[in-house]
Amino acid sequence: MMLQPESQALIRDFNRRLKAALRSAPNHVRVETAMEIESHVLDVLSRQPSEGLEHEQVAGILARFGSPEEYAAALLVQVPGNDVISLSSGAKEVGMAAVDLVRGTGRLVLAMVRGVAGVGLAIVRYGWKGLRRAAGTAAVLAERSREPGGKAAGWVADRIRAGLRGTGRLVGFIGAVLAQGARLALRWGWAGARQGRRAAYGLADLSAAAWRLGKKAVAWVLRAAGFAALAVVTLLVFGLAGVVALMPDVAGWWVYEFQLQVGYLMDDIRRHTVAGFDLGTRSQFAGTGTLMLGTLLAVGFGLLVAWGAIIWAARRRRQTAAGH
Amino acid sequence: MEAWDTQLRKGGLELAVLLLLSRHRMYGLELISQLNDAGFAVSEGTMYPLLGRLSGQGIVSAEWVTGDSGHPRKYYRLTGSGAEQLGRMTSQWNDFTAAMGRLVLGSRQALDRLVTGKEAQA
Repeated sequence: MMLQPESQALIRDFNRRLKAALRSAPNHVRVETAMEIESHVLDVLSRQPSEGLEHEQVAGILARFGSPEEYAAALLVQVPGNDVISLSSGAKEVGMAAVDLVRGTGRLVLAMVRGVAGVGLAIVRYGWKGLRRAAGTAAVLAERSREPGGKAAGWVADRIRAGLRGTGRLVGFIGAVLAQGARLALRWGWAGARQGRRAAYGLADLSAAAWRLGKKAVAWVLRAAGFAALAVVTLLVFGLAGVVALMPDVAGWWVYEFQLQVGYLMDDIRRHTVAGFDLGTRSQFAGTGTLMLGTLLAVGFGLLVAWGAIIWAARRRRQTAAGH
Repeated sequence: MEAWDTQLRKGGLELAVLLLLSRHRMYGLELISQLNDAGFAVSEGTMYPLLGRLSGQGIVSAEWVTGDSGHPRKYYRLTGSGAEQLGRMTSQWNDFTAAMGRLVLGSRQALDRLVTGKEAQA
């Protein structure tokens, strides 16, 4: 059935006031409520014979809902998202989101600590092994330096390869630990940022509910807290970006320190060599290490250096053999 | 008396609605009409908010249907958990009415005396 224009205007006005009074309700509730009222009016009109002007009948039907404001108040008490229920569920939502935010941030920090601690552990475990290998090389060279060149060069090549394999494993381990730390930091930090966003939305809902209840001061406080939550989220995201950007520098610093120590050892090795038997390894280590720092992936660097050392040792053997 | 009567009807309204919906799905006006016919006076301003709450709690489900009427109607039906709820409410209602019945029966003679005494005074 078709409603007369005056009847349509009555319903439209009722729904407009009702939607305004349902401000704090979810949008789908406002839309469905308006549709339901119109459907009810049409149902009533279809059952009654038409008496008088239709819009007078429509006014009577709408009056049975009470005023739009009264009806909205009754709806808000009953449906989810009302003042009382939204305050308690909103507070719970914010509480849970705040706990998740703290948990996410805590996990981020833990991941960073684990990453750095893992680097330290790797340095201690594999670095010490590498240092001991280098010390062994020095002892051998001191002994072999009295013999003619060929065999010593072969020895040096073998020992350097072993040392480089150890270095490669160390650097690879460092890279894996840092990558894992970065992955965890991104994963949990991002989860923390998302929960922080939920906290901000929950605070905004609470603020709207408090405003509706007339607690304007409380509403302002909640709104400020919501902005603070968003600021924390923003800082967290920028912090994450900073952590990821810094990871290569942290790794590079640790490895640089290690290769310096190796270089010092090689200096000692050189002091024990026969004059003219120039290993040149220290400068090679230093140069390659500096090149690696901050740019190359740890595993690729280890393989690259090992390959270079093998080539050098073969050349040295050929030169020494040609000299005899 | 009026306030007590209102509270009594208010308490029983939810059970009455669920009992009707246990028969078949109904729309809002249909529920109001059937309740009025059964002696339960209820207005639209009470019925629809109640249906909204029951929907939110998952006791009833609602769907829009465009049928012979020409305009879409929102039909409500009882859900599984709603049927369980209805069972519990019916059982509690039976216990309640049985207890009240015993009290009323036990107090009948006293009530009769009170009424007879008032008539004599009048």
